[in-house]
Amino acid sequence: MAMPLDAHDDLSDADLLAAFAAGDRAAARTLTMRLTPRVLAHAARLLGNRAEAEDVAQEAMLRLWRQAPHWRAGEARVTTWLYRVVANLCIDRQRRARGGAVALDAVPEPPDPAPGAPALMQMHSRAAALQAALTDLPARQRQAVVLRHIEGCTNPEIAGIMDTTVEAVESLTTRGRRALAAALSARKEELGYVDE
Amino acid sequence: MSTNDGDSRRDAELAPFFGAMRKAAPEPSADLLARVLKDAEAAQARHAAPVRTGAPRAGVWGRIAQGLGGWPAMAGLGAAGLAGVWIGLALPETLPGVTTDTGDYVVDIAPGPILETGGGF
Repeated sequence: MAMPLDAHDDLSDADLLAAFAAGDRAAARTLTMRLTPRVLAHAARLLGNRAEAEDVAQEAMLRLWRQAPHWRAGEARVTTWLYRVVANLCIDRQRRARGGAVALDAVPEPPDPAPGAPALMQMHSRAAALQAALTDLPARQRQAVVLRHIEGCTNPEIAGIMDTTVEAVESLTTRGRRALAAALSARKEELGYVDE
Repeated sequence: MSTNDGDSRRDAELAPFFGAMRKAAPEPSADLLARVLKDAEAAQARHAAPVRTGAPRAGVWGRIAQGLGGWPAMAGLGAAGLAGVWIGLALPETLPGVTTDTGDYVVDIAPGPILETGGGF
């Protein structure tokens, strides 16, 4: 079964995965282009390390490919499943790295700004500051905050991903936000904390 | 100021940071995308591999026949078995020497419904 590449753009992730399992190479390409950026970004936010995030993203996508023939439609969203896989892979890496120095090259260097692009500079500065503050949070607070406020998951979805209750998710995100606000308040002037 | 008010103010202050992080998401490199796609195609090839294009797998009797030498050997075994049955059932009329006359009675070694006795009861 094969469809033209543009015909895949309207398909859901689950439908694309079914097409992939049936041997559709265009579906593989569409899923790669659609999901790899999300998986990479999520891993980078949890790990705070771009190079490790790339390895995690590749491994998470590999697990998705292997899972495809066994995927049961309607049981879970593909992205929800991937967030769970990414989190588990990140936890494994952090456990292995414990005891050794973990390079925090996650925070992207702000690109050389084009003249007259202060807003772009501020955006990158804020993103980098938030990443640094996130990296200092306990792992589960970090995961809950990222899933809620960056990936846009609902609390019940997060509870499913993290194997916990909605109440626990609310508690994790509340404590996480307070800690982030405290960490970032020290840099109010530098980051334009209250200018919007 | 209540705790809820404080949380609301903090959330409002954090919102631009969350927005900035969403916009500054890392883009996957061309190399990473190529590796992911290569994995996908390899997985598809593996999924397709178990699909058989040749003869279906033999059943239990078929595998027993193969163990004994295949269907020609089974045909030979069947013919030998039938020949044995025929030899066992055929009356030995063309083999008179096999019947033994003892004088008092005759023993017919061939199975039959009537036992003839020499004494003539």
